[in-house]
Amino acid sequence: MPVHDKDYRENFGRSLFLTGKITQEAAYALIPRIKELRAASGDPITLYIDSPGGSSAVAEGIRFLIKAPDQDGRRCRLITVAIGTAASAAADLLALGDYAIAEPQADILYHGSRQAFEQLLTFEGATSVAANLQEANERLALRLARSSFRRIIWRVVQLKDAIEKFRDGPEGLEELVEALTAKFTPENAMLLREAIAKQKSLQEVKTAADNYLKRRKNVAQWPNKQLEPELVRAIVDYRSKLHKEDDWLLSRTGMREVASDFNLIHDYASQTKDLDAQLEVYGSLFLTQAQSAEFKSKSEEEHKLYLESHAADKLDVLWYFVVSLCRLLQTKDYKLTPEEAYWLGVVDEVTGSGLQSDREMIEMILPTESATHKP
Amino acid sequence: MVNKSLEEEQAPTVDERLARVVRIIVEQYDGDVKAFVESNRYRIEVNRKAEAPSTHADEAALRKCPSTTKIIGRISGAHYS
Repeated sequence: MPVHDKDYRENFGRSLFLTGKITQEAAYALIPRIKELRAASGDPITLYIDSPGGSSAVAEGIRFLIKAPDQDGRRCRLITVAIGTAASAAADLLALGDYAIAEPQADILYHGSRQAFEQLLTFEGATSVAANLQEANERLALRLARSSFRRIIWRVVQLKDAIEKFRDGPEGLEELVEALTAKFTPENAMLLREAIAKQKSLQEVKTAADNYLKRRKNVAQWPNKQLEPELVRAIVDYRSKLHKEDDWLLSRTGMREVASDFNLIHDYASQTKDLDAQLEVYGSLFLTQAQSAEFKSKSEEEHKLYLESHAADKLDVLWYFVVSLCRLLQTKDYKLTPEEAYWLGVVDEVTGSGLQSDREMIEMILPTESATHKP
Repeated sequence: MVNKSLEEEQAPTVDERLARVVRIIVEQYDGDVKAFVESNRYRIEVNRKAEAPSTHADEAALRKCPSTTKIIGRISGAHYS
């Protein structure tokens, strides 16, 4: 019989239910049970979700309470399960599970951050709210991208012919994404097509900024205080050239575009450590047959260097695509079926669907280990 | 607003077991994920079927077992004779 791995299985015995709107009161009701489960053992906690959403900050607080280190520094793994609706903040919470499961009847709905007001707004107030909402969207998108990236890697490597072309070079991304769109309804397939267009533009601005900065001496040694204004100049230079035929002004939409580009490139720099780790684990899945043969002949020490020169560019463009996708998910309403959420990297598994999952693959290679929980 | 300190904690950790899956896929299946999954699904299915007759064998052994009333009868005899 196949072994069940507790890190990838829902466990009703150590579970919580988040139903209804995510409010401070809902969080208060969950806290004693969270504390009880954390005190009882370090095993994963399952969070069943059926919620129309609510406060992102409260959802984040619940997640943090479940996962926060205890007095001995031990963290707890969070398994999220969509049993009904997972919308808005609840959809984010679902995706941010260390292992996310959707039941076949679940509905997953994404949209951008919203804020309700009872008072009349001044121009200054509205501007500040708009800036806050934009920042929240950016941060949520980036966080979602970080949790979805590994899942998307496992999705695209299943797209047989398209992945072969992508292994030949990063320019195969468009075809890869086109193959992925076949898994979506026409409306949601548009999301992927828009994301690939955004990815291209982000990639271009990053390349332009890299080239601009390369012309400066010893840029690698510059402190951030010196580097950041130069990066802004690089972006303004790129955008000005791009819009040289039209009436592009910083005072209109230009400043917003520059700020958005700056945040993305800046955030990218902070993600390189994560991306390096992902490259080390998954990079070999992006090698051509010939590269793969060469890779196998190399020593363990040489592997990292080999992947950096033969797979990093492909993971790079894929990362930008995932970021673009997650940014778009924060803009308008997207209702996803569980299967679409799976192909989009929002969840790891759809129960009973037959779609391959991390759990299935891990249980396949662990015939005797980790048999710690059987339903 | 999203708390940045919580975000930093979010850095996804890499599961060594998944890294092993990747190594097996690359080394034994030429990077073909589907081939890995399908062949293992097949192996598990074959094993499951192979285990099935032994379950029936257990059932057959149970059928040979004396009925509960007979056992109780023997125990009662031992106690009260």
